[in-house]
Amino acid sequence: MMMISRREVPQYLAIALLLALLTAGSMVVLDRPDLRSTLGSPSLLHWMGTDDLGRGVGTRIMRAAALSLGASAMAWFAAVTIGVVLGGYSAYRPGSWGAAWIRWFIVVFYTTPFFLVVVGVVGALGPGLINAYVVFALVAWAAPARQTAAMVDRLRQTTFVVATQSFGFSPAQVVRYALAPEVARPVIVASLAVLPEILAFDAALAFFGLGAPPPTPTIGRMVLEGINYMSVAWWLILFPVAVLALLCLAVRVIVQGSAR
Amino acid sequence: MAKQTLHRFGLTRLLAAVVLLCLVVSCQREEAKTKKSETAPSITIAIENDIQTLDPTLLSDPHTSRIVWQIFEGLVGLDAEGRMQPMIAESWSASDDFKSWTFKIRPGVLYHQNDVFKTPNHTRAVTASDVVYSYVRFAKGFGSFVFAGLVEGFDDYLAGKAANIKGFSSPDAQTFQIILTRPDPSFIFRISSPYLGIMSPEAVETAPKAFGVTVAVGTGPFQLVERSPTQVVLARNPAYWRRTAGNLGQVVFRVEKNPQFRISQLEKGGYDVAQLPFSAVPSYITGGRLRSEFEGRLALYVARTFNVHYLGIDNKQVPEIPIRRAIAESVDKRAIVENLLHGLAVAASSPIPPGLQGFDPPPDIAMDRAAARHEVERARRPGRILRLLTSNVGIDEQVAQVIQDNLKDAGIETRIELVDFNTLISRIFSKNRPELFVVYSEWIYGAPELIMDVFDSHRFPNPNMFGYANRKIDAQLAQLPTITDRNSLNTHSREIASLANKDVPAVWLYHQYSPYLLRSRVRDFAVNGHQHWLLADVRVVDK
Amino acid sequence: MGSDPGPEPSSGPVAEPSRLRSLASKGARALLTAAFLTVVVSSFTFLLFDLLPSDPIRVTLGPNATDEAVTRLRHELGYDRPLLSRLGIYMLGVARLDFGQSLVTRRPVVKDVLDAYVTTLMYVGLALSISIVGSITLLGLARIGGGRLQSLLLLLTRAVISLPSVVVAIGVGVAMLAVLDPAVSYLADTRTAVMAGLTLAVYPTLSLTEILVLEGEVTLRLPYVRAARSFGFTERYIFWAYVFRSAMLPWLAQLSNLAASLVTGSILVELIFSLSGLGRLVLQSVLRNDSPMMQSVVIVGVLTFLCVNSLTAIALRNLYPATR
Repeated sequence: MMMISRREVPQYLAIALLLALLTAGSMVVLDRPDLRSTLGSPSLLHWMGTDDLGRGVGTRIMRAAALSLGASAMAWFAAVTIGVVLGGYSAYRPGSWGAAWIRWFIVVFYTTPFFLVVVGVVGALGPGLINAYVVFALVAWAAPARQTAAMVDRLRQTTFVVATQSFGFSPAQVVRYALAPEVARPVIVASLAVLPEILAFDAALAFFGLGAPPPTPTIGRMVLEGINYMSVAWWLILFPVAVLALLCLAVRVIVQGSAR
Repeated sequence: MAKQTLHRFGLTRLLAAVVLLCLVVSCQREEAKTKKSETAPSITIAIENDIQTLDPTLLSDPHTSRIVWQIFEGLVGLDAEGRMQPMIAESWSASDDFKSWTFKIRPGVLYHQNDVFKTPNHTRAVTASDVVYSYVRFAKGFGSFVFAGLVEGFDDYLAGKAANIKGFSSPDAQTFQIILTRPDPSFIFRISSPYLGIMSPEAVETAPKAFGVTVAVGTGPFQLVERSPTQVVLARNPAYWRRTAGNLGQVVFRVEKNPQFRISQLEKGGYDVAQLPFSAVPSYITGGRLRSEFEGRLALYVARTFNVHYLGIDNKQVPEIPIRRAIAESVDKRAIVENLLHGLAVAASSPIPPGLQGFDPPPDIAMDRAAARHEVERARRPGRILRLLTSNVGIDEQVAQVIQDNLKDAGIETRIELVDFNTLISRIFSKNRPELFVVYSEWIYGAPELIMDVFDSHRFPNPNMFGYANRKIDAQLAQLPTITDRNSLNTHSREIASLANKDVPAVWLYHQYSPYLLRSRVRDFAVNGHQHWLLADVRVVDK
Repeated sequence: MGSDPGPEPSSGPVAEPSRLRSLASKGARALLTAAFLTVVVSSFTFLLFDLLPSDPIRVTLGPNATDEAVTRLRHELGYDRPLLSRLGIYMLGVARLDFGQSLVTRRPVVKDVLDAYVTTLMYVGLALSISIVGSITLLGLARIGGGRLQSLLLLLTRAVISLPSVVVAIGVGVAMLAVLDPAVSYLADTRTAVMAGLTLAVYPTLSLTEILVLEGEVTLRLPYVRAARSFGFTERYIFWAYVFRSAMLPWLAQLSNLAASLVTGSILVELIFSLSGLGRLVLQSVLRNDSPMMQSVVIVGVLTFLCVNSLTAIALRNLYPATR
């Protein structure tokens, strides 16, 4: 039997929790609107109460968590991959045309208000949760790219890398054996810390009426709508925020574990 | 090392300087704050969104219009019961063929005192040429859909072929005349909207960039004192032409976007009037009345404005009448009105608000899920998903989800597209129209027969947003301008609406009411059907 | 990514003028980069706005307007011209310092944008100051309080910053309004700005504190610190002179990362507190498809970004002359 050290337990618990949420959320059945039981407080039938259209909040949260988690993970993965590749390339071959273009793009994307980009492109491509996160990836690649470029830049001149090069390794091998291990971990860890922001991102989209179309629930939108009903139906904000906090904490625990 | 430490402290000093600078700047701006008038009764009103322009011709949002319509007023207006009242026009008459309308301008209606008037007392009386000037100014914006094709020479002017509009004239200083291209006995109800406020050329042209910003000179019961990005202060117009029952000396409009805060501040006395958001309605209202625990401190006013919320159907993309009827038979309007709107609305059977000039609504299409299912099965076109476009305004998003659920029972699958309101409007008028859309209309006309244009096949896409075309209805609509008797007009409008309902060009959902919470010191608060807040007659009773 | 230094000044009587020249050329280059960046970002924004699905003219005139009226206004304002031609006209205007008229207010955008900018600077500046001072203060407190307090602080900090910054901002803002619940008839702009600044500062302060504490811990265990101890330096001196200084680098890096969250947070905070800053303008411009207003906000943003970048570079160079 594999021995898990005591220190790693929280990490595995967190991963298990996220996986459980993902599966349960995808399989759960959502309620249909029932206007006679709107804004019902938590009861035996609905543990987390009902929302403004009489649907059970609990099942909606689980689905929302699964959706947000999945979509955010995809967006994150895309953003980091693009960022690391482009940023690394621009620093590895600083003189080339491509690198100059990439550096300029990084600065441009950094300074343009990001949600303007999102709103504009999603407006053109049409609504939908997947579209929104694809666009997010397009926008969010700049930060990991910048970080990767800075790190590769620093590492390029270290004796370690120079030695590897002088041993006759091809550029690809240098990247794979010398640079990647050093660069990948910090960049991934740093960008994982931004995952909570991505999770909340769809709330911002909801403000412009974008993102997953109703009746699909998303965590961000549930939180935003809950604020409207705060004085009337406390369960509409408490549970989404609690689940969001739980998700973010789980991610954080995983990140901290990887950082060690 | 000492040098680095010094640099660190240098940074701290720099930061301290920045903070200090910010405080100094803010103090400067603090001076621009107004102090409440010590003597005259004053009320503070919370408005839900930013204040745009104070120029009546550029006005396009409901929040700022509440302010602008205290400053400017038109020839005529409606009172809280919808009755036509003379305002700047003392009286009016129409020729026998109803093609020529003559208005007598009330003598002695003075503009608010302002330096733009180079007279000793900085004001002057309104003349008919001012009315001509204002109406021409409206031509390119609001006026273009009220007057286009109706007023002589209007279209030529807009096309640039004429230097002025033949149909607007001032035969003498106190007479304003409108010549129409066709008979229109109901014309007076077209201009009852407070949008058509009268302005003076001096106010507009002396400093064109300032008009609507810092200069807003009208004839209304209140005049502009000061304006900042988040607040507008109005003071009573001491020379107002009408003796009002109200005693307000000052009105402060303040932007407060956070609905919870608006209501909590109202309870504390920070605001005197605020619109109650629908999410908070159950806490304050029960059975259509204010809850007893608030009696004495707060009061409730429910405004009934000329609006209709509806599910628009693009008749071209959904041409099958049985399908449209099935949609109408599936929607549970009663549940929406009672549970989502908490009774602060009335189910609609036509686009015309009930009671408008005595209008009696036609019978509604009854909800009949079985019949709906039957119709859909008969006209079965497998796999067709209808796009249902909605915006995040009010409760439209929730209504769309309820409708989607209702339609699912009948076997009609829909896909909701949620966008912001402006995008919704743009989409409806574009080539990318959705099959179904949840939207509302605020009618600017004050009579039922003028709203019937929505069924006119020649008026696509505005106001006939559905692309509805029925020759019989067109013929009946053409008959309306020949009727002059109010009861006949109402009956005929009812018949047309009833006929149109058989083809289901749209599903009329409800006419919404607007609940306002008031502090009990505010008495006689009223809002007319055009959403004009009649603040001139508000009395403040401070014990 | 700062500009590379100019050629080494030669020693001797000609040293002064050539150093001035290199400074001038650096300045000129920086200005050119700034102008180029502004043009690029501005064009990018212009293009994006064209992609927005709402029709600005229709939105301005409202849903009641006829098609003819819309077409007419579109022609009058020049919106029926092709995209590149419009972009060119706009750029030429900017060169003349004419930033166009807002579609919403129909008057020049400059004044509104500058007013909003000052408001935003006020509370963002406050938030930044609180974050900087606050994180250092919390670090000091943790040091004085000892191991237990430090762990507790770290735990609380981590719990809060693992949430998205927007959720923290909403939570703090709403709580502040509920708790402070100012019973005045209207809030003076300064008081609101202070509350906004405090709300916005919570997340960055805690985030920066975490960095400082963690880096501090790591550095304390390094050999050179132990060596310093054995030399007889006091703990206090070692901490502030060595440990703190080495923690400043990641701290500064995180500060620049947090700049983005400050921008998004500012929009939220302006909504909660009804402030009239840049966030409100941005929201309004996007919803109303008001391109000229948005362009000016973006230009202001780019210039700010460049300023902040240069300031950070200067700060880094002065604090850490080794990392050039």
